[in-house]
Amino acid sequence: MRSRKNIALSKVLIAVAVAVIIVIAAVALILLTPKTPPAPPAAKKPAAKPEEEKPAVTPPKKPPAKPTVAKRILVIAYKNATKLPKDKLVPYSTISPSFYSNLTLDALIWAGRYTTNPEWREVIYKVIQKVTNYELPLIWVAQLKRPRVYWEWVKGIYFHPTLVFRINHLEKDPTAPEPGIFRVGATEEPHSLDPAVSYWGFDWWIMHQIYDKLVTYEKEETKYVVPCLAAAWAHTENATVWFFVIRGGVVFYDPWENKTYPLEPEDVVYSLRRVVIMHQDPCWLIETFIDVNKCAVVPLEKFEKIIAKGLVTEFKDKVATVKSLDELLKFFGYEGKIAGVVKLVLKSPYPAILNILATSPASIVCKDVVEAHGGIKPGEINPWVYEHPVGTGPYYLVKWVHKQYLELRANPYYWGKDKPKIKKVIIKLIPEDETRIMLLKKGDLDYAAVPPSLLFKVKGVTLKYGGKTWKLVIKEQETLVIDYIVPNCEREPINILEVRQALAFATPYDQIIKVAHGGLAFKAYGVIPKGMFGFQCDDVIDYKYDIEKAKELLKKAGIDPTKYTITILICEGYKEFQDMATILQAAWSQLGFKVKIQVLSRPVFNQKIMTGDFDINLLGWGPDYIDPDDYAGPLSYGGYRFTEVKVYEVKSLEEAAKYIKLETAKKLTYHDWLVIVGEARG
Amino acid sequence: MGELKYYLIRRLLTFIPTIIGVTLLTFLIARVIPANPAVLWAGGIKAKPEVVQLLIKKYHLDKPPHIQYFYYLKDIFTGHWGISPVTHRPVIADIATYFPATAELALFSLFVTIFIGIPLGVISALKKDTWIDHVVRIIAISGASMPVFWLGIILQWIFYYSLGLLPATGRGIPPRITYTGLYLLDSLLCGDFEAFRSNLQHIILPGFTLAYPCIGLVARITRSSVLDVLSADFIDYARIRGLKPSFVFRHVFRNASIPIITILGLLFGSLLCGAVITETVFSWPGLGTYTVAAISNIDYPAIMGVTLIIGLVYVTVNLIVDILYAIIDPRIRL
Repeated sequence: MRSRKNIALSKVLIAVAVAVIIVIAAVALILLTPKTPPAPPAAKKPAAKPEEEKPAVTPPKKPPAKPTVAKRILVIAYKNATKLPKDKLVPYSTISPSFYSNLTLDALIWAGRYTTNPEWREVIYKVIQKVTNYELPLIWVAQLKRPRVYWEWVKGIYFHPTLVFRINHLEKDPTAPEPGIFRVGATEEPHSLDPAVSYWGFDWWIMHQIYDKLVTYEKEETKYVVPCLAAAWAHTENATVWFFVIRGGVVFYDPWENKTYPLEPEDVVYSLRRVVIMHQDPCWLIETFIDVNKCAVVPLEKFEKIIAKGLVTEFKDKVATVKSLDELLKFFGYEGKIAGVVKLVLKSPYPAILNILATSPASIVCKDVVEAHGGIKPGEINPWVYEHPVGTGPYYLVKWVHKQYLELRANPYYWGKDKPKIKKVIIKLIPEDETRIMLLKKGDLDYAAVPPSLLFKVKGVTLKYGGKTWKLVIKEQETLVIDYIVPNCEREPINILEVRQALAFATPYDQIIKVAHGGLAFKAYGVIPKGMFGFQCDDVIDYKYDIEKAKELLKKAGIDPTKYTITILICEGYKEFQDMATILQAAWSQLGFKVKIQVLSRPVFNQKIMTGDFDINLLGWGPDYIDPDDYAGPLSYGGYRFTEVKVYEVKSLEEAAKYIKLETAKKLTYHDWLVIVGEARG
Repeated sequence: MGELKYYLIRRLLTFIPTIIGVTLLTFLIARVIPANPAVLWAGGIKAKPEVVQLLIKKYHLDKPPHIQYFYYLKDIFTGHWGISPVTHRPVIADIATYFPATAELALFSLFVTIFIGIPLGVISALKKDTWIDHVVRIIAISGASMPVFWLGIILQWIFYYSLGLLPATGRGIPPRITYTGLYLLDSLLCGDFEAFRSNLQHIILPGFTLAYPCIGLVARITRSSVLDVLSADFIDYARIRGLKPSFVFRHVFRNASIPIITILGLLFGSLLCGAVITETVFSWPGLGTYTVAAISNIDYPAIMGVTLIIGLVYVTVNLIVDILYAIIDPRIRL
């Protein structure tokens, strides 16, 4: 009797327990299920028909008329073009990642890099945009937007493409939770807080709060740099020697010793030299352009003598030749104290040098502090500076508890006019997206990284606090990041231009933007992204999804696509590229190609793409500094070297023939400009 | 006791080939992957060839694997575990930072497992086929089948987001003085009760999440091994002799504890190597996520450092388990 009763009881209990589990699971499912359903898998979707194709998220201006008769002629004359040997060709460095090579394009890139005339430079980049759009060294897919998610109690927020924002420009509403603390939710641990070592965007953002550079950008402005630790600057006529007048009355604050050190011109020379001697990941930014051994502190009397002969200076739209220090300072509207003058010598004139000096590796460190803690060792990192940054910026680091949080405090000695209103910053490192979003929604974070695929979880979120209902703000920010398809131009049949163009026409851009980027992107046209100097989309081919046209181009190329298998390589962990590959697989299969997808771990993927062992791979590119050369060079350079590339503006073809061998020269147009690229005479 | 001493020496000697074997295998496996870690270390596609070449030289990547292994052994014996090319920190410093957090979480979870799992198992054995037994079975099945990240997020959602009782992420505030790196223990040792409270609050959710699958497992093992012993002849004999039930139970438990200790040893070993998912969900700064990052970046110095530590942990835990066996069951020493 007893055992039967027990069995009956146990059955009831099991039934109850199962029911409870089901109810809990159902409740949890309802609570955790997205309110808007995620996009369906791309592969199952039929590719959009051409007529269904809608314009990209931010449609560019439509092409006006075809270029008219050239009114102005630019001549690019190169000398001794030689191609680097195969073992010296490194993708993204000396050759395009697709191993595409084009002498004319290389000459244009060299001309763009070294021409100081801004008007010519702009035309050159617009032509580069046109060439890269037509030749497709890479198939340009999308330019990304980034969602920025923060509570509306944070005021004054802005987003710069490389520096993001400085916290001293922000304010928090006094009725917000913890009004004195800015609480950030980040995804990962910083790699290093030594400007000479780190090459990671997140680290650069933290260092931007602690360190200053010679020049910087005014909030989200990207066009011009403004004075920072340099109060003024001027250069010689040929722009190879630059002089920076260092601001006076600035101090470094060392929170570990609770000591201050005045900023000296020597610190500037030391900082730049340090980057080159340590030779870590970002060193190329300084090393490529600046000859640090020739950089030096210039005594004021000597500088007065140099400037008396006349130096050129530019600031915002103004250009002037100045003949005295006073005149120079007046030109910049600076009336404060100065600490001295520093001379920087460039390896060759480089128009983007000021943009380079606004990047994190060009941050100014305190020589005395670094020397007291191990100094500089060639090729080695300095473990002290790695997590003990001492700078002149608006905040200083209090604590870096690894993999947990970083705490910054307002620097009481900060020299700038925007004194920090928020006194404390906590950067919490929360790798799990769901957890980070939970903390943000509860109001325990003010600003947090939210991946585009999870944006729906933070849409329309409000919080009642302090008698007010606050909204979570989602701001879509255009970035300079472009995603592209890398076709291996050394492999058949992708080495044929028409095949690349056919693939470009068979790429469903809108579907990629919608599915892979959740609509947070817009179409890219060439190597130069929208928002960058030299961008144009009014004299390019607007590749739109058009299977018929793609088939026509394949016929023109004379290949039978059914004979070829194309493998798309992607790196694991990048959902956007995975989605993109699936869409491309479905679309390109319609052309007759057999398309395979291969997902590889990052080191293996790197090995394959760097050695050219691929058909197609998918990647993206973001800026190191704001200049088109940072895109045109690494992404479309063909491995040519020249002993000289010169640019002339001429009135007629006859005049052009004086500089170049016209018969072999390439003629390119952009609106009323004719750009002739050819071998120099003599 | 002499037997135990020889037994220990014998066991200790097996340490050396085990550790060498583990490091050699890991080393070779890491090297045969056709990868280019130097490019990744130097910043991925943006890496400049000169920096990559410098890294290749520095980490001897241009040398054949056996020479690289020789360099590795040389460095290990001279106390240099290398600098991670990814975190830019000495591997030993990284491990010293993350291992105590993992050890604390593992110990906490082990205690939770022991103090909940074993009593539950014993009760369910004694009350076989009653509702307690069924509840324990449900715990065991749900523990084995429920994804850890799901449980973690649900617990966060209930105790942090909805009730606001416990923090969702990170470790508590460090105690005034740290002796061991285990914050709970250190805060008790230095009498910093505020730090103790904070650390206890922070460890409850990840600790319980990590312990939950183990509780069911240990309870089930305890149940079956107690049931086995209960049906043994010597227990019947003890009962017939009229020994007190508490005295009988001592014999039951001692005999039933061998499989329990085995499973606890294995669980503790794996807990000590880091629980990647729990650490990620709760932003717990432990060794698990460090190890996974090291593997995905093919960060050789970090991989080798972690392998060595994990190897040592496993052999030590195994040794402790063996010693416990020998103490509990003298037949093993023979």
